[in-house]
Amino acid sequence: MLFNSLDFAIFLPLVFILYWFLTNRNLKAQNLLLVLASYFFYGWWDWRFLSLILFSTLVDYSVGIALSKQTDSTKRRMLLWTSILVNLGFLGFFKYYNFFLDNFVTAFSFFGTEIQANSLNIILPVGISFYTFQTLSYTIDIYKRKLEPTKDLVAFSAFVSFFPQLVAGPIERASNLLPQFYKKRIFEYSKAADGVRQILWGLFKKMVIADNCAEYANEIFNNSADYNGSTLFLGALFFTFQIYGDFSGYSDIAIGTSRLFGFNLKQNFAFPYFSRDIAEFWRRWHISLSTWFRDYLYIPLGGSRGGTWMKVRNTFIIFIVSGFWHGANWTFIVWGALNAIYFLPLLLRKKNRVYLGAISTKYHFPSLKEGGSILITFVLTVLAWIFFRAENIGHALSYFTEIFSMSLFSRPEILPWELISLIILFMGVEWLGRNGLYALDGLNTIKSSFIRLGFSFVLIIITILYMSNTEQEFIYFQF
Amino acid sequence: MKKFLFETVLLFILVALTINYINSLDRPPRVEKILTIKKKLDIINLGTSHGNNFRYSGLSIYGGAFNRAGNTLYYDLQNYKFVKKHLADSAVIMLPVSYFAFGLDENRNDKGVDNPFVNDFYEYLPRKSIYSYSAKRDISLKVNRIQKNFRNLIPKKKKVKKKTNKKSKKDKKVISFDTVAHAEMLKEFAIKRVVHHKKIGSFASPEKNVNYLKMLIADAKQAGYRPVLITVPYYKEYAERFEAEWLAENYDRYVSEISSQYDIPYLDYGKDDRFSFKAELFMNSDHLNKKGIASFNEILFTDLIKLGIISKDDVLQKKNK
Repeated sequence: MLFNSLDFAIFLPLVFILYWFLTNRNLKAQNLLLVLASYFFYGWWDWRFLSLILFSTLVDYSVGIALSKQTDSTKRRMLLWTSILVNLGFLGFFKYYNFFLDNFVTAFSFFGTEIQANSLNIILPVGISFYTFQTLSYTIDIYKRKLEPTKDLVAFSAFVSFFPQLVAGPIERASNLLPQFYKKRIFEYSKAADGVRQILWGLFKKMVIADNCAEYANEIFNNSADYNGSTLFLGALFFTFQIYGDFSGYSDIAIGTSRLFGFNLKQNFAFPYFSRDIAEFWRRWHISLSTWFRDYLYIPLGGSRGGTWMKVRNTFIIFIVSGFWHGANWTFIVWGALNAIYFLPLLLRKKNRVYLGAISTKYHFPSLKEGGSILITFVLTVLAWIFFRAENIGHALSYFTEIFSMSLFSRPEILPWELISLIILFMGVEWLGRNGLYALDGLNTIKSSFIRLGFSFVLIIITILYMSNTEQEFIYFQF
Repeated sequence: MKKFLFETVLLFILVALTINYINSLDRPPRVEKILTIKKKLDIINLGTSHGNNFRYSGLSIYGGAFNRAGNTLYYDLQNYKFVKKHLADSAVIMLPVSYFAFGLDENRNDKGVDNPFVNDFYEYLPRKSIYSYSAKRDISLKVNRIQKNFRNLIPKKKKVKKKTNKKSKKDKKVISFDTVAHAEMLKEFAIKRVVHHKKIGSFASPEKNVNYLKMLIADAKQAGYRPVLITVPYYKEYAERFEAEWLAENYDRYVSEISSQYDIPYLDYGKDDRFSFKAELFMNSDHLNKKGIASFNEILFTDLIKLGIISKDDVLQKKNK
């Protein structure tokens, strides 16, 4: 079920009413309702893949309990590996089987050995990369004795399948989300009203910014050979805003929806396009995934400790794995590697933690130095997105070649002023709200509910008036 | 919770009222026409683009044409139900039935599932009247209309018209009507058109369409209205390319059956010599031009008087004008 669909517009109020009016007196019933609603939500897309979620839930629940009882380190390690193999096994099969097969065949044929192997027609279950990582963090934390296992199967099932963040995150840690299923939720007006506003803002980002940008980005990327350098750069810019509007919009809807049910999810995007260097960008972009890789891959590998070689190796590993997580294509691997190249000079010069604070807290506008840093980081990000969006490496390289030609200085062949104005307006609002948890967070401080309501009204009308006519799926569904 | 629910419902109502207002600012002419019927209708016609041949201006009785290009008998029935509340007692309902009409499916899927044929119906018909109603399509069409209307509210720069060497009225009159060339054009058009109409005329099972027409007629008769089946004039190159066997199989038998079953008149001008051989009366192979329409309406209303369906006074008014 898509957040920007009629189905969800009916589903959400129904679950909300059942949740607060029918099951509000019984925590177990409320959790059970969330499990059923989440399974319905997921099954609406393809009910067959519910078995994967159910299996993953049962395995990790059992492994969690077994780990807490087991004291023998070898057996504990075996239990952990059971969880890792089941979760990554599903992910590997559904997402990467064909990629590895095709590359093995190509590699063998390069050395003169022809292998007959047929690719499988595999459907990628929506959100598999998200919920497998979420459940993996649960068993790893128990293994590391950072977390006590739950004995409440319903609460654990609700944690694994919680519908607002099931298919595209944020990837929640058990330590943050699971305890919220144990406690009675109390309806709070301000939390729910703010949740609705965050949903509306997410819908605006998705339906107005991302979907309109998608139309132009698709046209330019799909016919890149027909356009000059400046148009191709504009196409990359449109994709930059498409992916941000799409993914951060999804996160806003997910967080806002959770708040309607009394839950708090972690911030997933913190205005990444205002970052002053790449290290800061990665602290602000897809925070739940970045921190997951940091805690469960980078730090176990040694992190930034050790010698230069170790630092370089770990940086490349984390960025390449992160790229590969996005999809079984060399373009994602190169995108990851390119970000590692951007990041390494900062790490080696120990300047990767320069910008930890908020952006331009004292003034409305950034200083010249800050503005310059933001612009450079933004352009580097735009160029990296070309690999992310391109069909293959060859396509990306030819795209780059055309951009870095004299035609970059010619007039763009496509110039949709209405959309450009909307993007400027959007980024303006984001800039004004840059110190909040999301752009409209500051509206909470306005006492007049009339003004707050008026703002929501204007936002809905603008979304309807400017939403794209072509319904697009969320990009991150494919990951 | 009460405050939250109150504000949410209030927001929903405000948004609904606003979008409804923007939606109503502008509508396609044929939708506007059916939504703004001013008087009780004494005579109406339904049907496909062949219904364009009817003219009611100048009659003392009030008439309205509610046909549309490529219309199906299913939507003829729905349009009839929609305008029924505006019909005068014993109103005449003219039902021009095209040769291909019994073979069309409800939503014209011969043009593809997402074809825009049904879009207009979403603007005024109730949901239950729309065949295979899709809420998704409904919302999408409404959003499109709202966005279009909103953009029209924003004043646009007037485009500077380029000066062109337009021909004066005198120059236009000099151009003579080349009957031979026109007849040749009608023939060429007819060849393509018949192939297309035979194809769409056998797309779907006719039984359902026969049933829709029967439902319309039965309801009209029961309400005291007077339905009339009509085949409009076609140019000979068009009419003759529908072989007798094809017509008997796909058209004649249904029209005859319905006419006799409900005891309603059937006026067949399809191969009428007064039109069929006269190229100068046709705009194309199966549509009359202005002159043809005038001629056809004069004959039609004379026939309707003879049948006692309308009175002489209703038409005399027209002649006096």
